Amino acid sequence: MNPGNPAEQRSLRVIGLAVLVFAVAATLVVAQARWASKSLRAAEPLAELSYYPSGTWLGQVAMGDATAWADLMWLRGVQYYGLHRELDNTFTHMAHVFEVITTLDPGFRSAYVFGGTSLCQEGRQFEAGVRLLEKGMRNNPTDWIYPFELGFVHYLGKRNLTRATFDFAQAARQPNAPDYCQRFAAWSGQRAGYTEVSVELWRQVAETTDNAILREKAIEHLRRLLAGTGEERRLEAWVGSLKPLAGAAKSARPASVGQGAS
Amino acid sequence: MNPKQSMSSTAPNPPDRRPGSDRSAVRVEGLGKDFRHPWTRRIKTAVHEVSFDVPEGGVFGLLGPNGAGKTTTLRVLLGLLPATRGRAFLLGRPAGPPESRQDVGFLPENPYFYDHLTALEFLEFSGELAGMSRAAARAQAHELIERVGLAHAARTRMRKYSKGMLQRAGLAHALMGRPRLLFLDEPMSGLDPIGRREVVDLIRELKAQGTTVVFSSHILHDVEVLCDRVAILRAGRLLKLGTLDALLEGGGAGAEIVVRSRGVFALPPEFLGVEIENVAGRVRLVLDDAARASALVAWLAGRGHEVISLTPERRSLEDLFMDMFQGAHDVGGDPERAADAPSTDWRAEA
Amino acid sequence: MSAILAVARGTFREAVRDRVLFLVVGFGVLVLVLSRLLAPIAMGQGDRITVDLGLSTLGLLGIVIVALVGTGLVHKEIERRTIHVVLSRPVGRASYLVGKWAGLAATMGAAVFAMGAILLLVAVAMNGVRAVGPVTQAVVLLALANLVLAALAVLFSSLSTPILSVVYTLALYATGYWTRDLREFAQQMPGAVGGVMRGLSYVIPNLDLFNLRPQVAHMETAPAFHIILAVGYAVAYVAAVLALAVVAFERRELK
Repeated sequence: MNPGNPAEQRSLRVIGLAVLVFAVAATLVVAQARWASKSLRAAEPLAELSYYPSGTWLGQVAMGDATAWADLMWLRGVQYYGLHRELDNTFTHMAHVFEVITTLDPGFRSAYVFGGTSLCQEGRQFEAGVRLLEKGMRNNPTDWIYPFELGFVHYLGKRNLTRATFDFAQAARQPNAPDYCQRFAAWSGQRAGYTEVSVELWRQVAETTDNAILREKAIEHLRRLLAGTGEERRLEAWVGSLKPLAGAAKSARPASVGQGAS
Repeated sequence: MNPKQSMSSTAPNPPDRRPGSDRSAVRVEGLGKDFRHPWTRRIKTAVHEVSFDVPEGGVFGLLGPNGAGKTTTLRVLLGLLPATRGRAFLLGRPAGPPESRQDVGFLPENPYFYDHLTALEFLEFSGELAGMSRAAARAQAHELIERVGLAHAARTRMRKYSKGMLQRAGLAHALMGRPRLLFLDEPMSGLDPIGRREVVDLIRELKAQGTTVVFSSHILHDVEVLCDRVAILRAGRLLKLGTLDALLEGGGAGAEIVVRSRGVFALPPEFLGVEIENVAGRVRLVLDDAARASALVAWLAGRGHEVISLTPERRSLEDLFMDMFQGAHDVGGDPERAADAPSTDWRAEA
Repeated sequence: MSAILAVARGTFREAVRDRVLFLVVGFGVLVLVLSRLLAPIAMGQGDRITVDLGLSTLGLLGIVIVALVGTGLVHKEIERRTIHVVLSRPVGRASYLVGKWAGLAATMGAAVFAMGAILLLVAVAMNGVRAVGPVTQAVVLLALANLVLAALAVLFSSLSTPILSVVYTLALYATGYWTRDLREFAQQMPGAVGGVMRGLSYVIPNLDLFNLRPQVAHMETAPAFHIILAVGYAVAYVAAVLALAVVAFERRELK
């Protein structure tokens, strides 16, 4: 600009010094942030989830943005699930969070399905899971997915075939219900081979879900169910043929599935 | 008092000082300032190229209509704006860096200060910024508040100040730290006649103490009353520079004499060309040539007429101004072309 | 140095006398009192709610002061030209910015410590002396978070208008508690997107580092290295942000 000017030179020196300070400080910031994220796993990760106020109240406060809040909390909830699956397999706040999410957005299908089935299985909170699915059914009475999932958890979780038959049948009666609802109703009614029906249920999940975590879970179950039956190779080929899903959670993804999905 | 000596012991003089600059409090060499529009990138030149010297101990007036570049020049000198071209020195130090503002005071145009501070606190603040200790700043703040006539409002928050009071507070601020060089941007604006008078007295007093004062104004009277030297700016260019006397020389400096009327009188032939006008029981005599004024006063007194006032050169700077700026309208106010008119020899005198 | 202190003191005085500040602190105390009234209906969680809400309010206090005072800090001075008063003195622009930051930080610190003291008294009254450590830690770390927010306010306010500054600062505040998640999300994203997210997670202040609410809820103290890390992080972050502000401000034209 005006290089001959001594004032100019001095202000360039000041800027140079500031850039230097910035470089050093920014390096420290990044180093410390990394260190913090490694060494400071908070004692109770995502503990703030337990502070989420009741969904009804929040819904009123959030006014038009209730579903947006539900989305944000859903992200948080899924993360909470992933973290605790890795850490300790206890899901203390999960029921509450999904209750809040589904109150904010009563039509949040994935929240009911993911929350309900996860609570029933890994969460070992069967009652809470069923309550969540039943809430979904109440809020969306013509959606087949809720009775279907209820049948699913009763069949797999409690081996309550009578209840499962009832639920599958109810799912089959809903408009747009896929054919397999009727099929599962029949199978569980006839007390067909438990393993075969389980495999079939999980296969259904893996093929129809758009939730990467759910699919990976289903594939894990299938691997366990089919281990030693000579079907493994066919299973892996089938896994490889599945259409990849976006956003597969790394924490819940075994290496082989990762290859199949990418 | 020889400030140069004390200064050279604290700060080395710039290596390339030219002869003669030793005695200047402000030296401006080809200073220019362009503003670039942040989006269109179009360049607007506020100051083209200005050079002048202000000798130590003088009162220097920057004169010009609004938009002439007076304020921009002052802001560049004070380091608020970086210069685009040229350079400047304050008390021998290159202008811009903080050190250059040691011993320098500044009154901004239409000053506006902190709402929630009292004048006393503000002046203390200002003194501390000037490098004074807190105690010294407090003592001087009291003193200057008295000096500018704000003692009654010293502990009032400045939010409640009138424009004139703010102007006074600003003057006191500029004087904090007893600067050897003072920049006053439109120091009279916002003041009532009494206030203006007080400021004029203050500047004179400062001058008597050896302080260099640079002030900008578009009011000619202020400049005429106070300045030793004047720079006249228009559209970012220096039109004239010099002592007041030199600038006004040959400009047809006249005089006006007012006499209480004792009936009709006729002037002798040596006063041919003097306009006579009767106004409400008084006679106004206008001469186009101030040199004859004292002779006319003597003549009038000898005839027993009571001379009420003699105002020499009263409108001459104004006339000069009018002469210089008359062309401005013809060229449509285009600063590029209009400012080309004056030749450089106008500022050649020193 | 004395110039920095003078600017800081001026900023502090000017800010503290703004009536808005009293409103903010008054509101904080009100929340504290109200949360006591909520205690009976919180089913045994009343004590926890008071401290929790108190700390949350303290955290909010910082961002509210930044929004009300901080974001206009430098911009207002440029607009009203009060900055000419300061910079026409032998004061460098860097000193000015650091002084502004220090003044704002002191203002926020005063508000946080005033309210923190009340909160501490309430917490001790409810939980006994075992509350002293955790609550003090939490308050001190919140004050540190405010130093970071103050630096951001100075940066934005020396570059942009108050309204935009509020938006920027609020955005960083809101995302500041998510930096860890951002880093985790980044791992799951493909190359470029993940890289950008990871970069962002370092740019955004890691405010979670200053959040001891979970520990306080269980009346636990945080380990010493957490505190040290938080202090170090705050110092480095403030230095980086202020250096950036100086770079931007040194040559700015003050019309």
